[in-house]
Order: sequence, then C-alpha cells, then structure tokens
Amino acid sequence: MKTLKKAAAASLGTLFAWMIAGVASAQTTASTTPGAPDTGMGGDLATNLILLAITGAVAVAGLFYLSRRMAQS
Amino acid sequence: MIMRNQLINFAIGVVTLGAAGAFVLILVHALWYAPEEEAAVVLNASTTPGVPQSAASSSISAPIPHDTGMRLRIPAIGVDAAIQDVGIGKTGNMAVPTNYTDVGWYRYGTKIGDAGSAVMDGHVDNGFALAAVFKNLDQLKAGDDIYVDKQDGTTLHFKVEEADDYPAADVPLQQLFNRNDGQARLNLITCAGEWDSSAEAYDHRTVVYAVLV
Repeated sequence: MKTLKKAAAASLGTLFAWMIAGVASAQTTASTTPGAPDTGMGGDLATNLILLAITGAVAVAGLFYLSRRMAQS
Repeated sequence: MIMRNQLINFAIGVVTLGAAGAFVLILVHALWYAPEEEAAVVLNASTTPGVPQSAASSSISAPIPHDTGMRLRIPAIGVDAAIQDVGIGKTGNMAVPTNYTDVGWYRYGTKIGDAGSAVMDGHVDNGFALAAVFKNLDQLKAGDDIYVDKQDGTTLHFKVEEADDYPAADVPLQQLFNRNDGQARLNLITCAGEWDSSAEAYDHRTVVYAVLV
C-alpha cells in the first residue's frame, strides 16, 4: 500500500511538474533588452541558387514532359 | 494501362506544380519579402511605455504606438526608407523588417524623438547578396545627418555621433537599447563582417549612434 501511495505521489508530482512546464513553455517571456538582430541574408546565396536551379529544372522538365504527353494524345 | 499513365501524368503534374511553387517562393524570399516570425511577449502593464527599464526586469513594456507612414532619410548613403514596427524574433533578438528596403523600429523601446535610445535595424543584403537598405551604413561618420520624416509633415533631425563595428556577440546591448542620458538618441544597426555558416548570420554588427539636434 505504501508503495502504491509513493507511486501515486510521484505520478502526481510528475504531472504537476509537467503542467507547470507546459504553462511556462506556452508563454514566451522576453527580457527588456533583445539580442542584436540578424540583418543579413547574403550568406544564403549559394543555397538559394542551388535550390532555384533544382526546382527550376524540375518544373521545366515536368512542363516539357506534360506538354509532350498532351501533344501525343 | 491508360489508368496507370493517367496516374503517372497526375503525379508528374503535382511535382511540377510543387517545384514551380517552390521556385517562386525561394525567389520572392531571397529578393523581396522575408518576414520573421515574432515571439509573443509578456507585457508589464505597470510599466510606463517609453521609459527604458532595467536589465533586471523580467518583462517588457507595452508596445509604443507610433505614427504610421514615417520615413528614415540618410542623404550621405542614399537611404530613404519606410519605417516598420518590429518586436522580438523567436530567437530573442530584435526582429527585422519584412523586406530589404524598409527599416524596422524597435517598438518595445524608446519612441523616436523621445529621450532615450530609439533603435532601428535594416538588412545589409538580401538572399542573393545584393545591396539592401543598410548596405552602406558603415560609411557614416560623425556629423552626418539623419532625418525622420513624420506623417504630420515635421522632421526630426539627428546627427551621427559615432559609428562602431562589433563582433556579433559583443554588441553593447545596454548602450544600444537602454542608454538614457536625457538626450533623444537614434541608434541604427545592421550586419557586417563575414558570413558564419554555423550561425547562419554575419559575425559582426555595425552600429551608428546619433543624437537629436
């Protein structure tokens, strides 16, 4: 019985802690002074170019394929 | 067989549309529109808006309403930009404007023209490394003029006191956001230095300190 009570108390404690943590994480507190902003995107140049090349190539190839299929039918 | 071909065509159509959509989104994000999701903040209702608070405070003042349609002009570097309100980003940093041509005024800080330190940020470049509004901010020097045009037709005239370059981790945030020596200050900040791919940001910041004349 004692073990059962201990287990129940532990479970309640865990639940309570989880609820507190849940409430805490639901709010976003901000200190008075924010950090310095990230105001540059130029380092994404290579990534952006690669993504544009890939998505552009896929879109063009898809359009080419579909237009040919439509012409055949 | 016909059913199978239709399915293949449908799948290729979906992929094509998805790729075209992604292409447009990447292009728009890199060149024109890059909104940053802002964090929800806990407001301290008892705090008077506009009064800089101590760093020990755990919450921030309510956002300060400001005139819409204000513009920032810096003739020395050819800046004439609309001013957006910005708050705090998800990372805890000051948020940035939604595009590369406007500047952002920190709405939880000092109102522009009031005693204290009003802060504005702007991009140095866009996703294609092309010049953005604060590309040449580091060229400002003491004595250069900065103007804020208000919608009521009046203009606030600031003069640059100094321009400094700091490692990103060493920006004097208290001086930037909270200095209040009784003067109306306007501090401008943008990125500088080299791209740090691990942090996905530049490793320095240029800060220009100006004071109302």
